[in-house]
Amino acid sequence: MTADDTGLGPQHFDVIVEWRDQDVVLAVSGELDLVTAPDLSESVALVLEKSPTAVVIDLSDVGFLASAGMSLLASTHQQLGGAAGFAVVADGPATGRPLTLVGLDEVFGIYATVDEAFVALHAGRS
Amino acid sequence: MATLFGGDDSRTDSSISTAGARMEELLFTGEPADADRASELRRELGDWLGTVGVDPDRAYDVVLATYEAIANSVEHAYRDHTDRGTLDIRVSCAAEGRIEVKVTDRGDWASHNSDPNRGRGVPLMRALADSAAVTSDQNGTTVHMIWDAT
Repeated sequence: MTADDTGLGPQHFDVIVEWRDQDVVLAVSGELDLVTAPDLSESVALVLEKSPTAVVIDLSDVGFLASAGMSLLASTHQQLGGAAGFAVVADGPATGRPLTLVGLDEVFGIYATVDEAFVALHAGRS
Repeated sequence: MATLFGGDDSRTDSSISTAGARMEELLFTGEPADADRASELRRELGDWLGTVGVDPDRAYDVVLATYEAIANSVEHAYRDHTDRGTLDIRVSCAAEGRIEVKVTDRGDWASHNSDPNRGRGVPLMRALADSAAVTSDQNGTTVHMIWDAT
């Protein structure tokens, strides 16, 4: 097994923020754990200051997701409190499965792609 | 640092023999309970599980659950203490595929886990492992997890 496909490689982390009108996508890459969760938390806080209509957190390029990251997703969802749409893109054993194991799939929508997330969010809006 | 635990002191590899069954063991002792080291330990554990032939999906579960145990020590165990404290990790893989993990610290995190947006670590450990137990006494807290033979 290689470092990349297990997410166990050296720590790298970044968050790319992409606005689509009033909706925003935070595309996370790297490992979301105790060390990096505060970085994502900071990005989320900056984004929420601009009152987006929907927030999508894309974990497609996350190779390791610890409960520190899950807690951040849950608290972001809670903070939005229905004022804006919220969805997570997680499609893989490293992200989708742990989120389901702790029951967060029943708290917010988890989708395979960003497009699917927006289809669901926009359907909920109309 | 990591010690590959031998059956007697004269051995330097990670194999020990118990009752005729081969067993691989990985031991970390006196590791600093901090977030950066926790990430490194997770990677070292993942590499080691690969070298002893554990299936990657199962290895991921072991790595995530062990990381959660370490993370609890990092976040909670020494909150009432001025120094960061240390933790020990012992992982064993038996020939028939049974994996056992023990993470021990000298703090008392099991007694306070109040924020509902945290506290997902223990449920996650329980979901990932076939059995997971957290015990605390005056000497510290131990997480003991077992993955049954495959």
